[in-house]
Parts: sequence; structure tokens; C-alpha cells
Amino acid sequence: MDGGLILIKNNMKIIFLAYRDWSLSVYESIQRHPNVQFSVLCKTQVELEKLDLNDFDLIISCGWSEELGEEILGKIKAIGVHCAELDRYSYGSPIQLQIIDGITRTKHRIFSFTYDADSPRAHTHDCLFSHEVDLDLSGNMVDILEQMTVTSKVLFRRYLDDYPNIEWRKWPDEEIVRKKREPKDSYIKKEDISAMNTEELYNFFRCLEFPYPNGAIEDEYGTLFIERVRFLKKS
Amino acid sequence: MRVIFCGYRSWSLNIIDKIKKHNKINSFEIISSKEEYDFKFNKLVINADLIVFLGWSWIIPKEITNKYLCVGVHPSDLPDYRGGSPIQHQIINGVIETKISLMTISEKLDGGDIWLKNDLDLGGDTIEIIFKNLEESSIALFNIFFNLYPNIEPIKQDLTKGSYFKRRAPEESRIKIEDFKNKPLKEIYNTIRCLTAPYPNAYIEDSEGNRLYFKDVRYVENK
Repeated sequence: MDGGLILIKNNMKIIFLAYRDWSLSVYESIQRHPNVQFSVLCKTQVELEKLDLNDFDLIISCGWSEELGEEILGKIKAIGVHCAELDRYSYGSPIQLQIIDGITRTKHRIFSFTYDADSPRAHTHDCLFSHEVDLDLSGNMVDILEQMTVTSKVLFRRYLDDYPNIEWRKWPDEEIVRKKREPKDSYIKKEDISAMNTEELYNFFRCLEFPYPNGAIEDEYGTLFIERVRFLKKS
Repeated sequence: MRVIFCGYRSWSLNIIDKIKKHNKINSFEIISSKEEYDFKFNKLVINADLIVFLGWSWIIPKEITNKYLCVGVHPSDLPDYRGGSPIQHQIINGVIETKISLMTISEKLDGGDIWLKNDLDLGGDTIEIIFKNLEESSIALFNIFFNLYPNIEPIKQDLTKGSYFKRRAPEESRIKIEDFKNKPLKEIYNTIRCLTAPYPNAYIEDSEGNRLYFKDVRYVENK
């Protein structure tokens, strides 16, 4: 049960947070869900802060990077989607870090969006998830993001179907911390090319395809940005 | 003027679409495949003052070039870069500003008389951009040509000058991994960008035979 509240279905008032293209495409499907009576799309934190949260039942965040903060999360339940088998990759840049680590099959999960000023994790501090589906991380970024649009629709619609009878499951803590990537991590030196095999290079460049800052190779004269790659494994 | 246009690539069809409307052209026909070309030139009576070949990949027999005035556009400042893959060879050699040359098609590959030339910019991250430049430059060139024709005389090429290159093979799209270490990145960029679609993309291959293809890149020079 979610907070002990029994809400009348068909009557939910939702705030949907999204600003990335792949996540904005999810909104219409949520708007049309039969249990949603009213919804608002916020693309910025400023837009969110202008709303009276007492008028809403739930925040659905989709690909939202910013912390919502203690004040907001103290007033309203919030959920999000995360594309990793949590607790792994819960510190930011989950797509990039998994691909670079050679992971091609992962999970897309609904997690309980919480705030903890002392935690290095991104949003997932109470380690609870409700719904999950498989996510394929092979292929180019455009394929992965297209898939995430679809899997996010599935996950949020399932959540809304089940609401308020949500069964939260705790994922086990993991010691390994994989730090969020920084812009400088997208650059490699010319010498590094020969130290990596073609599959490692493919993974490095494809996880940084549009809309992310492209992977790049530097020398003393300039920078070569690799926008799109393809890999052919010898059969 | 009665003109036959031969071209099948999208950039050549775009050029034909624009120049076929020139007021000196009374009638025109467009041949857009080798099969259509073979059928019409072998079976039918051709009635044309001029035959324009654009991006045509097949050798035109001398029976045709001797009988009709045949012209074509070559994307280089002839007699430089005669032969195959002129765009790729120029870009790989660092040429950015070049010409397109309107020439008579003769027995000697890209060795015919030159009617006119126009500027061609080989800059840009993709071949698609360069094809767009080629389209625009060719349209302007043909409009000048039709405006002047028949009061225009071609100039003989000096084939003792210039250069000749062979058509590139797909396996030449391979970049050696050591090249990344030994060559300036701008050279690598030039190789990759001139082999963007529709050409066989540049690639590196590791010792296991796996290949990484570079589809799109951009280069930023240090200030």
C-alpha cells in the first residue's frame, strides 16, 4: 500500500517532469491513462516550484537529473525510472557507465524518488523499486533512447494501473561506487586508441552519441568528435 | 536545342531537374538507368544536339562520343585529379577549394576539352554537404554554358600536366590503428568525412578482424 491512502481510481492528479526528448514523448501516454484525471507537464524546476503541490497526488519524473529537494519530497510522493539493475549504477550516468563496462542487457525500473543530503546516490536513497522490465543496451544511442521511451510508458502505465496498491521491493546495497561521468571523461588521447580494442572503442563512442556530448580524440592541433559509429564483429 | 540528360544519382537528378528548364532547351529527355541507356542508344534513333552525362558510372563508347556532342562534369580542376574518386583523392590530399570542370567526353578518361569551370567547396563534415555544393555549382555552370552556347569554344586540356588517380576500392577505407598515433587528427578527419554515406565508411580493424566503422564525425581546430 502506498502511504496508506486509498484513492479513487480515475481521479489522479499528476505532475510529469521531463525535459529530454525521449522522456517528453512519454507524457502523452501518461496523460491518456484512464486513472489520470488531470496532469501537468513541467520541463524545469522553476515550473515545478510554481505549482501548489497540495493539488496533486503524484510526481512522475522521467529522465530528470535535478534533485527535487527535501521540501518538495516532504509534501508529495514522487517516482522515477532508472535504467540499471539497482543498486548498481545509482550514482549518475547509468547508460554510459554500463555500456563502457560491456553490459548489453539491464533493467528499467520504477524507483521511489527520495532526498538525502548526505547520500552520494542520485535520487534512489531508500533503495525501493516497484515495477521493472528488461532493457537492451546494444546498438546506437538513438535505438536505446527509443526503447526507453517505450519501456517508460509501460512502467508508468503499470504503476498507474496498480496504484495505490504498489508493492515496493528493496534492492540490496552494493559497496561499489561508480562515479557520475564528467565532460572531461568524453575525451581520449590519440595514444589511447591503440590501447583499446574495437569493441571497447565502439562502446565508448556509441554511449556518447547524440544527445550526449560526443566522444572525442584530441591531439595538439585539434579535436575529432566521433558522432556515430557502427561495429561489425567478425563471425 | 535538343538535349538528352543521363544521370541516376540523386544529386545528378537534382541538377537535371533545375537545368532542363533553361530557355535554350526546346526538348529534353532524361535517361536514369543503364538499362534505359542501353535500350535507347542501341535500338532507337537518337536525335540530340547535346548529351549531358552527370555522375554516370559507365564508359561511354566512342561510337557515341564521336557522333554526338557529349559533355560531363568532373569535380576537380582538370587536368588535376583525372580518373576515379576525385572528391576522395582531393580531400585526403588536403584540397578544400577546387573546381568543377565541364568537359567534352572523349576516349581519354576525363581528358576531353574544357568548356567552363566553376568553384567547388570541398569543406563540410559529410559527403552529403559536398554533393549539395556540387549540385549548386553545377546548376550555375550549366546555366552559364546554355546562355553562351553555341558562342563558346572549349579549350584543349594539356594532359602532360595535372594528375591521374585510380578509383578507390572499398578496402582502402581502412584506417590503420597506428595512423591515429602517427598522423594529425585532421588527416584522419578528412579520410573519414570523404567516406561518409553513400560511400563505404572508413573503419579500423583489430587483430581479431572486428571492425569499427566511423559514420559521422566533426573536427574542431585549436584556437
